[in-house]
Amino acid sequence: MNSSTLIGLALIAYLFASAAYFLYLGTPREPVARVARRILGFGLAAQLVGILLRWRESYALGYGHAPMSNMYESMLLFAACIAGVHLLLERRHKSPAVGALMAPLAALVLAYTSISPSMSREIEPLFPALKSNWLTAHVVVCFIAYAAFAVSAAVSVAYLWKRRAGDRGLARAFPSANSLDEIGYQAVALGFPMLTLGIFFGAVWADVAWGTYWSWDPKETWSLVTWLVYATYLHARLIRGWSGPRAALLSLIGFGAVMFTYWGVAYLLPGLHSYAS
Amino acid sequence: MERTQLGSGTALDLETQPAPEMPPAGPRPAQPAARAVRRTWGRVLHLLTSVRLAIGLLIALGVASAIGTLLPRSDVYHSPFFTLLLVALGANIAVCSARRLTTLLRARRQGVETADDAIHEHAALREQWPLSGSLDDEAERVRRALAERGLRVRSATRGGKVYLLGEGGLLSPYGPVVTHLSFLLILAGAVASSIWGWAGEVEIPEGSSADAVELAGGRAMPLGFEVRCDDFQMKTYAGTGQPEEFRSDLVVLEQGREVLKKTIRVNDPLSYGGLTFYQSNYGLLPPDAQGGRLIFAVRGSDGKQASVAVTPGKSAAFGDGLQLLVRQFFGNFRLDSSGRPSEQPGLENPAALVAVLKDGRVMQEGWRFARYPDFESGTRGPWSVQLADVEGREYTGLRVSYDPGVGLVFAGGGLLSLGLMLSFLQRQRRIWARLEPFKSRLRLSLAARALRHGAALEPEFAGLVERLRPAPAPLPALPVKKNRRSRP
Repeated sequence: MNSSTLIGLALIAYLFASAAYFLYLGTPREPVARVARRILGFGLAAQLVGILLRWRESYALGYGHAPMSNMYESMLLFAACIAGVHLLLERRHKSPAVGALMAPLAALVLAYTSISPSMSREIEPLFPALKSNWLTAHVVVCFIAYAAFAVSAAVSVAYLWKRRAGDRGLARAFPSANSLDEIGYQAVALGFPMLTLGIFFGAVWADVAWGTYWSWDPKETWSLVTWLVYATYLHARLIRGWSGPRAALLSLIGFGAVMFTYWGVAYLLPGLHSYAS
Repeated sequence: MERTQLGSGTALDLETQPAPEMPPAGPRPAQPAARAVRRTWGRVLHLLTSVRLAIGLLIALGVASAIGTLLPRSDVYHSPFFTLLLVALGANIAVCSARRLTTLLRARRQGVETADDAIHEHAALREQWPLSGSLDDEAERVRRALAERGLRVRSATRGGKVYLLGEGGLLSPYGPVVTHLSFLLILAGAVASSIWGWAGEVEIPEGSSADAVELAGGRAMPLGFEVRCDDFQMKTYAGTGQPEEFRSDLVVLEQGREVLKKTIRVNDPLSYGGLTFYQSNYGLLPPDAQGGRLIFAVRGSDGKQASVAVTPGKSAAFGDGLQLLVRQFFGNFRLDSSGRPSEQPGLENPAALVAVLKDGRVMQEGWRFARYPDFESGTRGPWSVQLADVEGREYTGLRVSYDPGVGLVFAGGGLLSLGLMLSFLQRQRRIWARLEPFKSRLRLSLAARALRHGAALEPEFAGLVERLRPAPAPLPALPVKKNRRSRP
């Protein structure tokens, strides 16, 4: 059993979990949700073991580094974080219907890594600048944040839909609009401290590696833009009382900034973080 | 919804305070015009210290930063406009934090009422049911159930009733204060870095030392001590040739005395005397009297061949009383306007003025060029001499920085993360309980309120109710046949 087998298994599990969650939308009953949750949990476990195996395989190749060094490995982590953060929030808020958005997203990210023609799936040696214990800490908390923001954005879409559709059709399976609004906030409340910690770890690392904690590199700057959008979201919501559609819109803008920080910068704005190619 | 309480809550009512209107000063009532000015000033002040402005500034900073990445040459981040936004945000945060801290401390002084009958009538989450048992036993049972949930429990007795209050996430309200003050620490650190900090580069050839670095503007900055590079090494991955590690063995010298030795790598710098030395780059310097070698291919008229390595300015023996002397070496040989040899920076056209000596007497001498092996200038003799190879001196490129702000920035970053976790990952919540005599039995009332996580409190409250509500009276045992199964 090697890492790519397990990751393939995870992809299949995510696809089945998506189907099960869709089934839940049609027949919103707890046993269906439980099956979907278990399949997703199984996929997540397979993927985490796969990532750990890839870590070990890199030692066999003589490189020996955490699997977080290029776009492929980061997307593996992203898919795992999406599944994990969803399961966490589903457990806390009893909101299985959201899985019908998150499981397909995890599957999509994972499927993209295996079919993209331009993506290198090899285990590559690490550049000297990346050889640091900060790599793991920085990347993991950043991706937990990205996944939480993905959940918030998906829930915001669900909220806008639920508000229009009410209890008609598939929207019936979703929690009330107010609950969705609350889950969207809870996801940001998880993601924001994680993003802050991720930027902080990155700054400490940059200081150790390059002798400057902040250099206005495009990736850094866009992470700051993302941070500012969610800071705006939290202040508008908690103090100015923004909730509902306006909060949902801010969450979507925030996720747009996340996506640009992650992919846009990597492919469009070269800089110190351009490990995409 | 709980959120609607925020405006009237204790910790977050920044916006609901009206603009402070000052009472007319002095015994006479103020003139209408003066009062209007004062009122306008009050409004302006209120806007400047409002969360509304903070939100505007956050958006403006976000937009400006994003534009900066799209127009990399404009250097938005060091423009007066950007600085102004940061200063305004800092001032706004300072005022808001001070105000919030006062509110918090006042609320803390006042405390929360344990014996609060109103909360049992009005809380969004509340339940009530009768109990049979003694007042003391039941109070102890409720206290234990609250404590089990990690709540800090206080109790009070009044008018024959026992009141309990369990509080959780008590530090959570301080999260925002910690967060915002840490943000100010980061700004202060950034200011200190940009005013007093500097960064420069220095290239130290192996075996040499440096006592100054070159700043970005080209100015030399003395270090006050010397740094020597004993060795530079680049390791590559087997097979791919991709660099795996850059490494320099550095020695710090104070008045020629070795005080510190450290091997630095990328991600593992050397700190000494408030300065930090980072492995930044590496390269080759043209050989000179300090190091590096020129390799000459020498062929005698008798057909004998030799390869001779010579350091510039030195000589090397290559046979019976024969010596090769390098008088001069230019990394980039050019003829100046008057036709004399001159040296330009770089290693584009390495050339050596080389002489062949026999028993100390010059037999022949001339310029030799690595790029033009067949061109031999100067006096000819029995030996053909070619400059076959140039082995430069390896140097290590170090980035040297002095940053008095970095400590503040990191302290701020750490505290900022901590403050956010306090704010968001800890739930501030209160659960009140009241036990009172009721129709010859007891009655228990439970009420709960959370500050920001209303929805998330529901499951916890439901769990508590389930734990404390007496189970329905057990049914009389049925006659048991086979397959005995006990059910609670």
